[in-house]
Amino acid sequence: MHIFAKTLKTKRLMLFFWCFIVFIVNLALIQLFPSLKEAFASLTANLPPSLEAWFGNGLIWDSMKGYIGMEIMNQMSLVAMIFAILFSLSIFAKEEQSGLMLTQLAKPISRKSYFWQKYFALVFALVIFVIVFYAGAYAGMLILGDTSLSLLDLWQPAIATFLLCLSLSSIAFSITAATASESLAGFVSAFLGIVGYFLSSMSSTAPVIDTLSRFTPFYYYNTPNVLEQGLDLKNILILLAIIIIPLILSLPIFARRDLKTR
Amino acid sequence: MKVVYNNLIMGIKVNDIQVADLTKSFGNTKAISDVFFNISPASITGFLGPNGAGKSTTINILLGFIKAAHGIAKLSGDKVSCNNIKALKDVGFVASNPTLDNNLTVKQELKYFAKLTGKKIDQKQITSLSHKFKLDLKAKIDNLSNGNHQKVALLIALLGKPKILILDEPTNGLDPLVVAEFKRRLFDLRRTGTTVFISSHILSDIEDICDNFIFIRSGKIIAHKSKSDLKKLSPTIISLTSDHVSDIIFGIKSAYGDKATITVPEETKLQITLTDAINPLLKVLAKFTVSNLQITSESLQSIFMNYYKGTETPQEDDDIAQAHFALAEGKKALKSTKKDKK
Repeated sequence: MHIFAKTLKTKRLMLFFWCFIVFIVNLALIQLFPSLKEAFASLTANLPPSLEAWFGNGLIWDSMKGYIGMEIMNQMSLVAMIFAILFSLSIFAKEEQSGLMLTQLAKPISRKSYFWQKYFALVFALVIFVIVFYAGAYAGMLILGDTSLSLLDLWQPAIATFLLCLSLSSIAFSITAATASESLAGFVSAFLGIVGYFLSSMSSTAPVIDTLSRFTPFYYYNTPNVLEQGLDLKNILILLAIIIIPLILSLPIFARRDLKTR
Repeated sequence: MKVVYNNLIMGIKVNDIQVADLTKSFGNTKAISDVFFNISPASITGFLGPNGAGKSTTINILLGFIKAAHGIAKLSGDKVSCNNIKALKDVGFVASNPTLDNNLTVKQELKYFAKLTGKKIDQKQITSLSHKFKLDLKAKIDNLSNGNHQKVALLIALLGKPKILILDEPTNGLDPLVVAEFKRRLFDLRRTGTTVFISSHILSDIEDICDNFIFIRSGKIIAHKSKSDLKKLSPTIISLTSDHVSDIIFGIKSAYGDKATITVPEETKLQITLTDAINPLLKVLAKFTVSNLQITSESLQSIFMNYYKGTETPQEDDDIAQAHFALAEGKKALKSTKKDKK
C-alpha cells in the first residue's frame, strides 16, 4: 500500500485545489437558482425540442431537482471529467515520462502491484472529489434554505458522476499503462468525454446524433435523468464494463512491455 | 567458459551478475548483440563504452525494465524478467540523472523507498547513511543540488544493504569533490562484500576504483579484462643516452627477442618500447654507463581510446570466440536435453 499512500500524498495539493474549486463553483451555482428560475422558466417554456437540449425546458427550471440535474450533473460534469483525466495522467504517465517509475520499479515491486496501487489511488481520489462535488451543491442548498432535496437524495447522482469520471480516467489510465503515451491517452479520453458531452446534450435533436452519442460513456451517465428516475442498472453495468475492460486488457501489456527508459 | 555457461543454465550460483547471449533491438537498430559476461562477488566492475554503445540497454535488461529479444540475465542466481521481483531483492540501482519525487523531503523519500525494499529498515540506518553523505534529511528534494540529488539516489540504492549495486553513469554532472566521496563509498561497499557494476563513458571517473573492466562498442562486448591485465597491455617506453648503444641493443635482443622495439633517434640515444617486465632490461643496463634514463608508461586512457576507436583487436577476440563457442555448446546441450526429455 506504500505506492497508493504516496501517490495520494504527493497529489494531495492537486486534489485539494480541484475539490476547492468545484465546491465553491457548485455552491455558487446553486445560489443563482432563485434568480435564474424565474427568468429561464418563462424563457424556456415554449422552446422547440432542439433548443431544450441546450437550455432545458420549463419543468427543469421550475425545481431545484431539475436545476441540479441540468447545472450540476450535466454542465459541471465536464469539469469533473477534466479533473478525472488529468489526475489519471498525472499519477501514471508523468511518472513514466520523468523516470520516477523506474526508480520505484528498481525495488522489488511487481508491475502488477504498482499498476493496482496507482489505480486504487485514482479511485480513492475520485471518491473524495465526487463527495466534495455534491457537498458543494448541498451546502449551496442549505445556504438558500432549500430543503427540497436531502443529502441522501444526492447519492444516486454522485454514483453516476463517480462512474462517469472513473470510466474516462480508466480509459486514460489503461492507454497510458499499455502504450506509455500520455498524449494518446489524453486525446482519446478527452475526445470521448467532450464529444460525448456535446453529443449527449444534442441527442434529442437528431436520431443520428443520438446513435453516435451511444458510443461514448456520457450517454450512459444521465439518460434517463438520474435525479428524476434513479440509477439505471443497465447504464451502471455498461459504465462498469467501460471501466473494467480497458484495465483487463492493459494490465498484461503493462506487465510485459518495455518501460520508457528515456 | 563452458562451465560458467552451463552453470548459468542449470541455475548454480557462480557469480553475482551473469549475462549470456543478450540481444536487443529497437526497431531496425540492434542495440546490443550477444552480450556475455559474468561478475564475481565483492568486486567493482567498470562497464565502459562510448555513448550509444549499449551500456544502458544492458543495464535496463538487467533490471527488468526492458526485455531482451533473447539471452539470459541473472542477478544473484535469479533470472531477471519484467515481473521477477525476487531477482531485484538484493539489488540497488542508481540511474544516470535519477528522478526522485520533488515534492518530498529527503527523509520522506528515504522512508518511502525503505518500505519498497520490503526489508525492515530502522530509522537508525537512514540517519547513519544520511550522516555519512552529509545530507540534510529535512531538505526538500526540489531544493537539492545535482550532487546531493545523486547522493540521495545512491542512498536509496543502498537501503536494505543490497548485495549488488548497479550504477548507470552515476557521476554525470557531479563536481570532483562529490565524485571523490562517491568513490570512497564504493570502496567501502566492496570491502563489505557488495558487488558493484558501474557504467561510464569517461574512463578517468572510474579507472582507479575498478577491479575489472568490460568494454562494449556498437552493442558488442569487445573486451573483459582485469586491471592488472590491462596494465600488462600498456607498453613501457624507456629512453636513454649511452656511448654503448650497440652493446645495449645486443643485450636487449638477447633478453627480450621480439618483445622489445628499439629505435635509435641519434647515435648515442636509444628508445625501447617494452610490453614485458622491465627487470631484464635493468639488468642489461646495469652493465653500462647510461645517462638521461627516462621510463614512462602508456596510460590506461590510451588503451581505452584504442578500444573506443576500434583500433584494438582485443583479447578479447580469443576470449569472445571462446565465449561464443561455449554458448553454442550450451545451446546444443540444452536442445539435446529437451529432446531427451521428449
